[in-house]
Amino acid sequence: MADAKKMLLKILRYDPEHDSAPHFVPYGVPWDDQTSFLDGLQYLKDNVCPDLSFRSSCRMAICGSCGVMINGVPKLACKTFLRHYPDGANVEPLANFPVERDLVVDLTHFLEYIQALKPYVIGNSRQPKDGPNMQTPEEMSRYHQFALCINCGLCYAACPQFGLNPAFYGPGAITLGHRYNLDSRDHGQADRMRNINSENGVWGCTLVGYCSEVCPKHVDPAAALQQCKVAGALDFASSVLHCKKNKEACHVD
Amino acid sequence: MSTKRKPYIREMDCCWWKKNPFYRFYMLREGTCVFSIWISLLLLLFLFAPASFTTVIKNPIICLLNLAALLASLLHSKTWFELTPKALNLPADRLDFLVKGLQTATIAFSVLVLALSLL
Amino acid sequence: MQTITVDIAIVGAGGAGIRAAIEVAKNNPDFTVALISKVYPMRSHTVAAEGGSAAVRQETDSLELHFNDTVSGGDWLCDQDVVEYFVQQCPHEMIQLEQWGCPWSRKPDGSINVRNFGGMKVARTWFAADKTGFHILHTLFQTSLKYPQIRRLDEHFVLDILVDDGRVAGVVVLNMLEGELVQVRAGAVVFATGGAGRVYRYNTNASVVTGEGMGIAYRHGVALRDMEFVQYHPTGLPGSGILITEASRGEGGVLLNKDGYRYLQDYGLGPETPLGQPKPKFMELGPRDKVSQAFWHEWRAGRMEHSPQGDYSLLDIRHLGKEKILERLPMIRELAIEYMGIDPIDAPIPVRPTAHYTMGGIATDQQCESSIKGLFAAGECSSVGMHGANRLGSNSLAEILVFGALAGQGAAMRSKEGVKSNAAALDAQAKDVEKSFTGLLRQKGKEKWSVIRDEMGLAMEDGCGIYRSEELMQKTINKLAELQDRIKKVGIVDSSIVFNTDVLNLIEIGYGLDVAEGMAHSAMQRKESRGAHQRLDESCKARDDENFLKHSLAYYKKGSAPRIEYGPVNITKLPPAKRVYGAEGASQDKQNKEKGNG
Repeated sequence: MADAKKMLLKILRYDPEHDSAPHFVPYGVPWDDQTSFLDGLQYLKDNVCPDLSFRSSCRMAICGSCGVMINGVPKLACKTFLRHYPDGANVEPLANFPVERDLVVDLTHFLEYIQALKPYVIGNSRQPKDGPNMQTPEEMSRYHQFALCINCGLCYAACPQFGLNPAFYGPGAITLGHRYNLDSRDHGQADRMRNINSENGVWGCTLVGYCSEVCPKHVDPAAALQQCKVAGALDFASSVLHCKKNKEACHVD
Repeated sequence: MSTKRKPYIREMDCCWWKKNPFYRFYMLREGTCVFSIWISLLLLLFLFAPASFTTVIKNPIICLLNLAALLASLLHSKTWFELTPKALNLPADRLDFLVKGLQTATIAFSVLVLALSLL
Repeated sequence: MQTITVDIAIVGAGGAGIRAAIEVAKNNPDFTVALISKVYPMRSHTVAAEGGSAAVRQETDSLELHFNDTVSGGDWLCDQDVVEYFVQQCPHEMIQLEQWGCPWSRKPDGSINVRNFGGMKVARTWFAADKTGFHILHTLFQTSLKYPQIRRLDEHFVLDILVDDGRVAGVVVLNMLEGELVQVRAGAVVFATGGAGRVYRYNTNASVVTGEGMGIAYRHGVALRDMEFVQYHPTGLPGSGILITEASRGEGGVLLNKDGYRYLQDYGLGPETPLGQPKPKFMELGPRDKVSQAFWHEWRAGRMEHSPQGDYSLLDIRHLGKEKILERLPMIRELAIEYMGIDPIDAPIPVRPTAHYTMGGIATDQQCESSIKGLFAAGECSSVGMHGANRLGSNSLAEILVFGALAGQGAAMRSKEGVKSNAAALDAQAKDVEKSFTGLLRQKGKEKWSVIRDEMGLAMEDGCGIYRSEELMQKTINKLAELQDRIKKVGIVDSSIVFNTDVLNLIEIGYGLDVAEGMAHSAMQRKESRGAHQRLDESCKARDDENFLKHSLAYYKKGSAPRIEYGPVNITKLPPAKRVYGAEGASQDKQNKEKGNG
């Protein structure tokens, strides 16, 4: 690749020990038709700047490590190719997350929100000795798309509501909660809806829809959130009706 | 031991939506609500001062405004129906049918109202 | 240095690590578990597994058949008591995962579906389309969130273990964001750190599969067992090495040379089976070692397609039809389109063998415990003795579950013994770790770790590839020794301590070099051909049960070549026989059956 053509990548660098703010640094990266942005970053780390920090693992778009902004759009570096950017590109850390170092952002909130929405089977007492649950392909198709989320965080970088309010649970976490709500083996919807319907839950979503546009696995988180709103509204309606019927049993949470 | 971390937070300015065509279209879609307010005001005027209403709506500026309101509401209903499938967990082929059905129903209803008012 | 105390520390949060953590948490609500990983759990390499996970399911199948396939697939180097336990536990683990929410692919009636896999006589591979590893890992990760006593230390890099009086007492880890060391004291430690495929240049593995778990145990005197057996997967994309699942052949895909000929029939896997009718243990459903070896011969004979990324064969799945490809193999279609610009619905996929899996690893007993008391190992980093000389596809996802759970149980028992360690001694060890880490951070020199890594990868491919010879292995051994000297002269450029991956790369490659030496020397000493270890030298071309039906054990010796010893293979029910597939395999099965009846 030594005498191959080079492309100009401007990378947003930030070293918390030495810099007061991130700044762009230009680099030339040799490339061919197969070179991904991740290959480009790895080339730089190997040959030019070993102190460049970024996350990567599987390099086949399934582990969700290498999310970055390429020309302002959230992308997985491993499945975005230099050949599509003949004029070069700007590479920045994922938007809406605090920058820790170069292209590495702090994902703590995201991980906490996933946990808060209880993405696991609740209320099914079946044991291995009882054999597998039955679940028809139709039942599975209700949630399957939402189970394809790789937790890459691109949807959070695309979501202005998360950018404006970092306490918003956000598209990825709510989608995972919804995935279990839709699973025929699960009985935890009521439990999950308390958080999904809470102040920082699904109602913070204004259906910008960019999350679904940038999702590298076509999960369509915007759809999950709208479905959650429908479920939340139905929950609310039924609780109002329920209250009217049994006034004494009703209390405000 | 003190931490060496110094997380840098990129603040969102008020112009965040200008940077991305997707956001700009979103703001346009949401902006159509301004025209809904305008039409509501116009209707209120009709309710409480029907006489001046007829003069007002003949004003060329008001006509232009109403034309813009028509375009805005068309845009709004188009995007509204296109986003409907997101709220429904149905197989793709049925969703397509549903969206087309809703659009057709809206057009038919509008034509009907128009026809009734003109007759 | 911060010190935290837990009951059990688990290093690695892929399938085996999380399975172990859940096992501990579920059975011991009062236990605390530290689940330590250098990446977020869902970035672990389990996520990239595609095809499926084996467990007897159909009425036509039996535990005995799964046992026989595994033992013969491993060329009789498997510990049969371990395999027996394994095949028994597989169904339990798959059902358990189902109940935790794993979206296993189903039949129309809602029951579990299974698919064919290489070297398996009956379809017994449970699958979730072609994203099985992804779904297993995410199901495990999400289920682990149920247990508050699992304390995750994400992005914490393990630097060393603490050992007191022959017993493990914890680990020292680097908090990658803070750049600070943490001493994690624990009554038992489980290593689930994955394989070491990245010591090869061209491989299917994630960049995190660098082998430091093996390296750490090795430097502490634990043997690395059967390291010469490194599996080449027959179907990786040229250039990137990205895996194209064996399930594409399980579903009926065929391998062609440049003349469009299904060459596997010439290498003991024939006769040719009709297109669209895959037959277990015939042709494309042969085991991985044989299929990769067949490629090598065809390539040497000049019958492969050429490209700048290396020569390749063609994997043709067009005849499966669009609908089946979209239902069963959506991800490999996406990968072929994204990374090769080829839609497998319309054209065959270019593929070539690529380093994939380390059959060997940290030597453990049947309960997953190593020679250091309280140090357990499970998954690819371990050698519990089940894969022998060649692993069958879909046995490794099953392995991480079965032995992840077992290691968790064992670790909990050890921790309950409540042995008190000498705190001052542990602090002193941790201080030493800190000292050497700080030394590395300040290391000066002209060498680059990236150059060392690339030269190591090439050397391993040249000397310890699909076919090996004494001459080539010696060259590799010499090269590795040279690199061991040169790595001490690598300069660290990064002067910040926050997420400093410059120094972590150096540490990974340092451990990788040790592991590579273990592989190369074990290979050199094994003067026979068995499973994934095939030699071209005259006297070593055949399997030699008399001298080599035994496990190799590589022991670390600082500053020199490892010491290679041998240990017995536990053979209980299936005596060694000729390992055959295709028509010859079928007739051997028939004879055995007649013998059994007579």
